[in-house]
Amino acid sequence: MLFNTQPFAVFFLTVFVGYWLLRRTSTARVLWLLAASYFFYGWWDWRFLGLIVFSTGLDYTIGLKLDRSRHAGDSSAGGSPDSSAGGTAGPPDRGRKRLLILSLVGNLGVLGFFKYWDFFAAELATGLAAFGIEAQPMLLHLILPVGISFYTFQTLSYTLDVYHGHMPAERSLARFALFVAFFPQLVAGPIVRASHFLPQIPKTPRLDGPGFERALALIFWGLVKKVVIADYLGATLVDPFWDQPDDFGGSLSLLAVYGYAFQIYGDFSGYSDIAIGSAALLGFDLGENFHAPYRSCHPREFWGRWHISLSSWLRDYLYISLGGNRGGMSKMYRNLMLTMLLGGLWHGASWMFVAWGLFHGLLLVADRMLGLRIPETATGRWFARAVMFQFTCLGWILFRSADGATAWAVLTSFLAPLGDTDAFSTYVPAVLVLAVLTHMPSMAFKTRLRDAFTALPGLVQGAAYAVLVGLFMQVSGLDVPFIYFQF
Amino acid sequence: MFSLTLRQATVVLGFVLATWAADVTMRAQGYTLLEPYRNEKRAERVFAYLSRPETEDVLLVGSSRVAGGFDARLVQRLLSAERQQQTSVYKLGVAGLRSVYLAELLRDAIVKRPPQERLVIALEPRFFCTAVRRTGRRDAPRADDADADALRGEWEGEALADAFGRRFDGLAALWNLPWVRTAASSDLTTFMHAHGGEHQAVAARRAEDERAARNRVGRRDLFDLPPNMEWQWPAPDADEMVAFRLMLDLLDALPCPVTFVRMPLTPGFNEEHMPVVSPRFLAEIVPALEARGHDFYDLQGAPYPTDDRYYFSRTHLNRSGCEQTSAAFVSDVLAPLMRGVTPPAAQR
Repeated sequence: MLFNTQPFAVFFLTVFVGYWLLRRTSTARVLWLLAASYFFYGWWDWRFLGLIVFSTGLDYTIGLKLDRSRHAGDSSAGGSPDSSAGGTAGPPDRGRKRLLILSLVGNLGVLGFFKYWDFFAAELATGLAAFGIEAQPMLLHLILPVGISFYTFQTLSYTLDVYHGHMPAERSLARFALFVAFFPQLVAGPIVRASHFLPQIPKTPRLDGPGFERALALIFWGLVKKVVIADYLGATLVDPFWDQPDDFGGSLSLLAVYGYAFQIYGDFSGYSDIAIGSAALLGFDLGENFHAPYRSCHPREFWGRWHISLSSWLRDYLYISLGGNRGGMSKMYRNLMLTMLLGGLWHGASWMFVAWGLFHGLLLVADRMLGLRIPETATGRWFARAVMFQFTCLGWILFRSADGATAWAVLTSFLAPLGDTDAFSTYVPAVLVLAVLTHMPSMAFKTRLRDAFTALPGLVQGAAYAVLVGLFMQVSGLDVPFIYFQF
Repeated sequence: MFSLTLRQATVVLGFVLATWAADVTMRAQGYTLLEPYRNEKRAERVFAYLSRPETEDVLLVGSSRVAGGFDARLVQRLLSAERQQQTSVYKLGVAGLRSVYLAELLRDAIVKRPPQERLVIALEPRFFCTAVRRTGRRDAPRADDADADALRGEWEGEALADAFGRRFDGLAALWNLPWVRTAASSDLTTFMHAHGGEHQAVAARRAEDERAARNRVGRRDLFDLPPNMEWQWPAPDADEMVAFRLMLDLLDALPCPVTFVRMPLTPGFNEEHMPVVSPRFLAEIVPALEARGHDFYDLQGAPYPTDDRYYFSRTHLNRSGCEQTSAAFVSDVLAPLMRGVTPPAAQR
């Protein structure tokens, strides 16, 4: 069920009430949340519950074995068998490596099978045809299970952390299962680290008044970004533009691309806000996933602000594993390009996502080569932000376009004369301005605004939320699901 | 530790009070009868259609299968390209449409302002029969399709809204007030504002009709069809057949030609539910259409979607299926017809 629907509101209210009634009993509240999470996931398609259970069982078992073998290694080397504080790794051994490989193959195998089989089968057939070999692609027409890219990375981070001794294995299957399936972040992130989330589960949850109001404000702000900004721009501006770029032309095309930049930001960060706010209402902290990314002055800063949970995952588990900064500049550039290429591919089975990843890889390499820094003056910072935003939008053209021809049509439409599109109704520029004005101010300013709102009398806050619900009901007739659900 | 205070309770109270106040005031004014904007999926689109200043060249009419099965913008673009002249296309997809309601639509709206060049009506065997419902399995929408939840979500939302006595409609109606109206407000709202006090009675009747039609079909009809349904073809004097004959009479008065189609369904659904009624439809309805000089095109089978992956339920196309159907329909049927050429795929 989508976050911006009435069924989810009823579902969450039920889970919230039940959870806090059970708050004093750790086992009961964990099982309650776990059952709710499986119900939430099964609502999409109950047939894929088996996959998430498989992933849970696999990594839970492997985690325990890795932990035991590490302690066994410690013991045989004279270390304490009780050292479970996640310190230095035990001596590497083939058995532990095999377990890790099993986890990687199991998880990435399932992800690869469902997500990439048809894509690579079709590409293989196309490639063979180029050499004159006729081959029928073995397409399986598989359904992509919702959220598989997210929970796969999440469980892999757990296995890798346990392997490297950064954290002990989770003994409780129920807690581990909840870590994997926790519904606020299950289908579209944030990708939560086990070391951050698991310790929160056994603790008695806390929710105080200010926390409640901040969480509500975050949820509603996420809904505004998703429903009012992203969905509206998508349906009225971005989709018509990508359908027919020539109807726009010139500066209209540019505005449409800017519209997409705020659509995808509003959609994805809106979802993250709702997820983080919902988790906060249940006493969990999921961290931050977006930090005003279009305020970035250079590519490295952008990737520290956009989809933080994914970019940090790629940095910690892929980039560093490939060697990171070590081994000289050329190896670092290679590692950056490989990381971003795979990061692009993670988004979907399409060469356009790969192109987008490569584009950002090149930006990061250029960043390193030029040694880009945040300018010291305000004017310099705003200029750098404006430039970085143009490059980001260039990447979004690749990301949004179904194929190279569409991307080229979009790009060439900038040079076309102004068209006679009727997409720019009164409200489109207004929503664009709203998107910019709510994104570009500093975090401190936005925090002050939020605090000013939550300082209002409770009745006024409640009435404001009610009026917003009415607006969501009006605008949500556009029926646009979250963009990142297709990953 | 759960330490919420009275202050947080007042937030909830504020929400409840605002909802109640909006419900009471907007309901008294009749604004709750004004439906929020839906992408051509709801019955009130007839008023949006009426309130448009211009008429279109081609009008597509049908049930939710048309609402989700034809992309009007794509049809317009492809048709204009094929004809090398701008051709406007409008889609009137009414969820839950059946024979009686179709006749009402024709009588109340379409005959009064017909399309300039062609009317396309998607008929279905379902328009003419009833079925005994038993508990059945649920067809899970495909999770990989971006549109999978679109229609299902709407039905679930409507069921929940009904369960709450539609108490939240007042909140949505706030955004339909003349001095607040957003771009998301439907053309219906514009029409209502322009016609002053008429809107209450008209909207009330339409809302009742639409709800009754929806209840007759039942939301389960879209997703939960048991394998052993008993389909009952109506008697000649049943409402559905009377309405069908009325519709044919009304169409005689139209200045533009009329084309009938049957929208694609999954092969599985056809095999399971259509063996009884489909032959009756083809034997009784289609000849009646042709006797009046109307063409009928069955969009089952290639080049129309026959694979389940083009559907988000067994009876509704997903986004990919919609695009494929629209493109094939234009190239195979609509464009040739409008050029005055018998389509190569003229089929029953």
